Amino acid sequence: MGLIPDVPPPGPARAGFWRSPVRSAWLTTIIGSLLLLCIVIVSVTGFLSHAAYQPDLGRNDLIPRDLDLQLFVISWPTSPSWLYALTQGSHVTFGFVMVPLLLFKLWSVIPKLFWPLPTSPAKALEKLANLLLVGSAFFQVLTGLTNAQLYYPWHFNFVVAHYYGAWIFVASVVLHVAVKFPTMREARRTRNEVLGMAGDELRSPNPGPTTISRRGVLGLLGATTGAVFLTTVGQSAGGPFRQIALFAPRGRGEVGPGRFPVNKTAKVARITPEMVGDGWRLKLTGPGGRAVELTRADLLAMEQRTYDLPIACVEGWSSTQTWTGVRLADLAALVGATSPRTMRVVSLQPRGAFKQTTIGRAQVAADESLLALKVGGEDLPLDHGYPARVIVPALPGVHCTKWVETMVFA
Amino acid sequence: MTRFRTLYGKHPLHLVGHIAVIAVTAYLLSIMFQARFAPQPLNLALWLLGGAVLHDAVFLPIYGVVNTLLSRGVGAGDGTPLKDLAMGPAESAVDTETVAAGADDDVAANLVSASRPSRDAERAVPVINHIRTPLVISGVLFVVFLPRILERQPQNFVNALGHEPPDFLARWFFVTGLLVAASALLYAVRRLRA
Repeated sequence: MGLIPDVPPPGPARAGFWRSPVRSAWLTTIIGSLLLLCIVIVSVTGFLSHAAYQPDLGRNDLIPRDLDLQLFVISWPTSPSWLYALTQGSHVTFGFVMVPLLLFKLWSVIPKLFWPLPTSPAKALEKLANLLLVGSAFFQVLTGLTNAQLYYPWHFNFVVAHYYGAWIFVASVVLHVAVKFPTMREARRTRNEVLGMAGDELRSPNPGPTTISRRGVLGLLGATTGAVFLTTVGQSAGGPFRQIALFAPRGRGEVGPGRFPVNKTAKVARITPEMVGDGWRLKLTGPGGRAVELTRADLLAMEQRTYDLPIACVEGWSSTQTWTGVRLADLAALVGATSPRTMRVVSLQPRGAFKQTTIGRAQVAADESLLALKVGGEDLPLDHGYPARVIVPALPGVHCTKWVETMVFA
Repeated sequence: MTRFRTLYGKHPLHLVGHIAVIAVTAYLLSIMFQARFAPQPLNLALWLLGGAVLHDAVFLPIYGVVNTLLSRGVGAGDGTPLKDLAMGPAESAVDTETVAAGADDDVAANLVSASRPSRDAERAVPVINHIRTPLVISGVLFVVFLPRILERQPQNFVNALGHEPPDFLARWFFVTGLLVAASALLYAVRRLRA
């Protein structure tokens, strides 16, 4: 390796340039472990969200079905009803919380970024793998947190990029943990913080004056993640937390008609009053081609059920409301569909990715699955899907189709 | 095996793992870069690398310099020059091995002097963390919620929620003010009790 000088040029490439006396393998292990926990939560809930969209049904596949690595497509349950509110609320909240964890983690290892050129093929590969790791970490966090804040500054398919970017990230994290595991184990075993771990590359050989202790750094990290958590979580958790969710798009007071959030207004969906007036009919089609048309009065004359169910958005917010309407299973029975395999729902909205959707057997059969006509004891507001919308326990909000026009049971 | 280690630098499994992850990544990128998903491949490439590059080349140097200037500017508070500020007992981080392993004399001397706490400094309440703490928390909040605080694409908010967005910037100033005030109050209390 004669090409590489023994002594790096003055500046950040020299270990002594970095003088923070708190950097050490021990500190990085603690921060890294916390970050890893956060990554596990965000990854698992992310892949679960992919399953919750039931991409195996109808035209639900936002990522074309023939593409690889769509591994966790399970039949999505309807119980507990708050399942998607929990998983997706966690995905978004912990995705936000990951930002300070990632920044602190990178701060703790930053001298290594500048350290001399790799001295062996193994070190060169590690540098490349670290680029994939850090690149995909920022890619996932930045695309996720902008998307959850209704900001779309890119020119690519978000769902495809965020899904496959997640696989790059997960693969890089697994490799990184495998490579660093011995160091982590040894650093954690190091009881004696003063002497530290032998050969600790993160410890400055030229430490500056101590201005903060390691506990201080961890305390600051805790306070920062806590601040992000507390100003976000209320849009999912509700209750008193909603009042302090100052920065979440659907936090404090950012509610719509019916006093709970809307994700797409009737105006934007191009729903006009004429479309939902007296001329509106619900068109049902059964497996044998049997068809029935119902007015809103017909629907109100049927047996009404009332349930408290959360509506939960992929953007992380959720809200539990009291819904009243007709059971989907009762509507299926009207057209001779007993235990239908799927139900395709088409909205009045002229276009949009979620103009139509398909739900599965469990969703149609569940007792709490409704074609809702009322919410909170009053007629659905137009923005919430008047004259009728689907509400199914544990189903992502965008699949709870609003302004329903047609339901096809198969 | 020994020969492999000498040439490569690590265990063969290290090589297998890295080749596997790099190959999987190449395959996944080939999906993400398909023209139907990424009509502007350069844009996707910028996003894939941009975060890491901006962080390492812009964000980190800026906060590093701010921190250094801040440390020099305020010292330990109380007029104690920072270089005299002692390391606490848990922090007198003299790595004997590093010293023994041939760090030059200056560094060794530095380490030894830094590890000798002075009583005055122990009693001092360092002001620097009372400045850094609110700065870090409020800075991270700003970065995380930047799209709404700086009102990027505000029409998206109106389209989705059906009303004008609240003033997130004002909220951020409010939270920042709160943090600064709390930190200052705590500092005053600590000074009085010191």
